[in-house]
Amino acid sequence: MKLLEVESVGKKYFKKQVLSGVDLVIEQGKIVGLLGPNGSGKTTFLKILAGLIRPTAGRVEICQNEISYKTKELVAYLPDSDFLYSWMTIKEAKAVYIRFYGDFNIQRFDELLDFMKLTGDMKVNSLSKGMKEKLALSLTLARDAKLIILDEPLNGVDPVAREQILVAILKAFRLESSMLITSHLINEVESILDEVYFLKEGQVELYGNAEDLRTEKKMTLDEIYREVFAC
Amino acid sequence: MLVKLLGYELYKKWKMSRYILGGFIVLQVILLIVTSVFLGTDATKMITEIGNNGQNGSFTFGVITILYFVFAAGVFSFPFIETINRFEKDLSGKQAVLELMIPIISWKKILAKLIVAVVTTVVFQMIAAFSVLAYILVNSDFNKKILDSIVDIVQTLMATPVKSLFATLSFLFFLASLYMLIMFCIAFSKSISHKNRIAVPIGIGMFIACFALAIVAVIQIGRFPIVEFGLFGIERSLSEMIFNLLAFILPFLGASYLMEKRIEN
Repeated sequence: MKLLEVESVGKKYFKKQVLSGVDLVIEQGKIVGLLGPNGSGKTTFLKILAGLIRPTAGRVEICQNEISYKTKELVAYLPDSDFLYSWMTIKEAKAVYIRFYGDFNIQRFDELLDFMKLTGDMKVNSLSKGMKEKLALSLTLARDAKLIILDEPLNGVDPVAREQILVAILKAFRLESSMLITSHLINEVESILDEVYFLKEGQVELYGNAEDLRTEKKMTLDEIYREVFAC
Repeated sequence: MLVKLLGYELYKKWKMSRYILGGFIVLQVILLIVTSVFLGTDATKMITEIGNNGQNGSFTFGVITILYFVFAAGVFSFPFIETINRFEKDLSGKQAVLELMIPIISWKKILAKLIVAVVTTVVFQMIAAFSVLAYILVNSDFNKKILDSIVDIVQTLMATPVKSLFATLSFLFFLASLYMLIMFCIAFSKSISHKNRIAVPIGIGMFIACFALAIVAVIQIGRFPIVEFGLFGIERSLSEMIFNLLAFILPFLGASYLMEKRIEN
């Protein structure tokens, strides 16, 4: 079943074309990687799916719904920067999610917090960058949303925490949903991806099933990435 | 959902203003104690006898009074500044993602912010007014003349309850319209750019233009009223009432549209 359908999506800021003719389909139960260097349009694309940015061309449907405030109920989005108020405690952040997201799974959130070694009374402004990332990820993964979007979930965290985050992502993943992840750290995320899209200068350069691509090119995704982006 | 939003907005407002409010109350109490305990008679004379100069402690009393009124003015204006600042940050600050991802239609978000802004403004203004009143009463040693004038004002208001209620509602509606216009101008500027050096002048320019337009409209409506009538002892016209409604509804619809369809983060 198609959970996300993107057809010829484009985004232009004045004269700058950030995305152009992006087509993408995500089936239910898949973890999809959106890979590309800085400035390739990954974050812009994810924000379009989250309903924070409107495309200037094309069509986006999530569970057959066009993007609107209603699709925000279907999407759990982890941005690539801090988004919680500094005065909040973890308990207060959890209360906000419970208040507004009917699909927020309290038990899963508590388990994720335990796993991440965070406690409810911790204040957001006392957390390190890595801990903030873990908290934001726990809030996002605790939702039983149809589409989970993670923008650079491994950014700014140490290798041990990266491993922990990847385990948490796999633990929280449900087959009724789909996940779209961006990352620069291809080696780290490679093992969890079912499908990949390589985005270059706002256009899909290469896409396919991760295993098929590896077999076809006899390379790891990281090597394919280096080949596509010539680095 | 509107109730949930109201609870959330009130909670945010409380978290952001509790230290300011607490600090103000503590300062006011300290200043009140200093003047009434240490300057007692001098303070009373200064308040009850106009033109009383050269008393012992009059300089200290003057400084404390100025401080007291400056703090009161701060509390009076704090909700305006906080509301404008918060709305701007909710649209384009770090927390904008949290705000904009809430799966509720924008007009409800704006309505909740507006209701909470009006309620907080009224509460803060009442606190500031009561603190000033308390200062005058305590330092005048509860002077009978001052007490009588307060009682007179209360009695006048009580004698015409419908008129007083109408006046209060008119004030609240004016406050809501003013906030709505400010919110619309912020939303308009943020729909053009998130960069403050571009958005701020656009927002301010837009506000001045809208305000000037509203003044011109009010003057013209006053000159050429349509269907005049008396309402609770106040002369009104249908054209004026329609204008007041439009002055609220148009910015409200405009800000909701911009937040839903134009503002990106």
